[in-house]
Amino acid sequence: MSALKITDLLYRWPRQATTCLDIPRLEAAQGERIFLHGPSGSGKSTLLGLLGGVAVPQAGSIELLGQNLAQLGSHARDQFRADHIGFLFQQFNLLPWLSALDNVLLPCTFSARRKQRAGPGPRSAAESLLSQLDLASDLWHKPAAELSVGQQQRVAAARALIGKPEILIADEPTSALDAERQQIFIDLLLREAAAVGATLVFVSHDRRLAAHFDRTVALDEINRAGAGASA
Amino acid sequence: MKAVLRLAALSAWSRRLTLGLTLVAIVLATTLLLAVERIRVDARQSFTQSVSGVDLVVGARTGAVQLMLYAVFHSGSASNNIGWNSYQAIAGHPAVDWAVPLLLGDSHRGYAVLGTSPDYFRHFRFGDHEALRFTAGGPFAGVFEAVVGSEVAARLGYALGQEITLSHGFSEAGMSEHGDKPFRIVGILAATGTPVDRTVHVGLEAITALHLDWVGGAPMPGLNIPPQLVAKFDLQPKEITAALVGLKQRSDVFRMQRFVNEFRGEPLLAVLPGVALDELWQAIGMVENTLLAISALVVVVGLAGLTATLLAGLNERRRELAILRALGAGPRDLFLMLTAEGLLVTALGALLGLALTSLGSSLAAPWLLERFGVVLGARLPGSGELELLGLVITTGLIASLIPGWRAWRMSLADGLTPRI
Repeated sequence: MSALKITDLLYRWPRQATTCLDIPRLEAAQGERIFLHGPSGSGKSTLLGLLGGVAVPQAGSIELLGQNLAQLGSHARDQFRADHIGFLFQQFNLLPWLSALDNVLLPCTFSARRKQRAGPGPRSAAESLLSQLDLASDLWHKPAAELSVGQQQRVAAARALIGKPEILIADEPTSALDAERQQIFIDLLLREAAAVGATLVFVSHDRRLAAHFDRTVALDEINRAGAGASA
Repeated sequence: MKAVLRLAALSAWSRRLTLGLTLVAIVLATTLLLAVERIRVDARQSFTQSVSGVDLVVGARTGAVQLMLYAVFHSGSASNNIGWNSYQAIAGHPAVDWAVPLLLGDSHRGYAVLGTSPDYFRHFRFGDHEALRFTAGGPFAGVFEAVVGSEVAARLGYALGQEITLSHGFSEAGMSEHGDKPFRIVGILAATGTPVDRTVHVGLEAITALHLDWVGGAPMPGLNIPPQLVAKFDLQPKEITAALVGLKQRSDVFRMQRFVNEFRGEPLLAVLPGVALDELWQAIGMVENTLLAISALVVVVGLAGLTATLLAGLNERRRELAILRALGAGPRDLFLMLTAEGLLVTALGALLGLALTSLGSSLAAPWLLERFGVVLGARLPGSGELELLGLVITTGLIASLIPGWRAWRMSLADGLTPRI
């Protein structure tokens, strides 16, 4: 069973004439680390929305961990996302009014499964993730808004990783970091993803980062719809 | 869902300044609404209970409202008086328990002077059958003694033993002063919230005595009877303005009313004070409804402010909503989150408004009674107030549905990546 399997996917935004995504096939094995290269306009955000189950394709199927998302209701897709996928965005990943630690613990409040997989104490799991991601313990209880961008991204990574989700989706998580910090962050992310055994889909327009990953997929090559509607 | 509500509370707390200002607007609007309602109810009550325990008010034949206006509120003047004989015939009727004569016409510095008998202080009732109380002194006994109401004493700074003079009619100018016959204040009444507070009470005989040397509404030139000599005259008045009547049995009230209305000697009118006061209040009821409508509008403005604040905040919170969405929150959760926030602010505002109204009314009650004669009862919120409170919260819920619905739409359009 593959972690991710897209077959004959067709997606068009509501009230738009042109097809945004037309992907005949995309597959990722469990534990695989994929670099998804996509320049802006290649339908990247749309694909992430489909993988997250916030949108449903008009045709074709998306299977995550053997589950066809289209067969789930919208509420069940939300729950599936909470249970099995860790998301990591460009920046402003955190709820600014929660402490770093409480941000990390958020997935455990939305998913009983993640909470249970986080071990006997989600709090200590969060703390150990934060220390593995090199965030000093005096920052844990600070409001997220007071952390630097690099620190925020590491808190966001810990949040995506807590409760060992099977799939990790990172959307340009390093674009706000300088080159040196990018390197360190990607290394940390790859190490932690491997530690929980997660399949990693790393989306970026920056080809130079591709070297860190098992495989590179160019979205504009697999997407036959060509120039999509949205970045 | 509990998790979402907890996050909603934390998120709201992080925006406490903006929401706090909105809350203040809702608290003040609710307070205004409840205060208007409370004053409305209580003003009506103090008005319609200006006189109680009196079964009939009797006067010369005129309109019921007009009779109440001059007999109870001492405003306006009687078109005709009642002969003393007629009064005695009514007072002596077997169904009558007691009768108190009222003689109006003079004034003291703008306050009405009521000539009556000492029985007035025994039988007059107001509010919930409360008797008149003296804060100092007691009823008048001698001819040139006066009892003043609480407002008269407070406004004019009167104390026991002080001498005052009365004026003929309501002329402030002092053209026709009864300056030769001063009165001594022997009693000061406690505040009642009724026209009694604004009245100077003297004996019927005193009014006669004042006018011994008057003819046709003016002092007779060359005739001056000094106070020490008035006792030599018959001070029994020939006419009175009106009378308060208490019956032995309330059930006799219509029989007695008919007796008065069909009185042979002269055309008379008897009214049931409660009914007449209600009628009178109806006439001024328009004003209270207008006030209530205006305060309701203020509440709507306050709640519109809440909607606007939540909607404006929503754009800044797009990122926040997208993060929650990525964590597994559905559009329904976000709808709930926004609506709950608005409802929370409204409910808090409404309850604080209620608290402020209760606090304010207990603090302002003495002042309101003294200045405006409105008795604000210290009591639990009335059913009218609770109904208004419920309406405020319901309207707040409706106002909160709009940002909730926006958040729902936004989360569907944005997905996981907000367009900013």
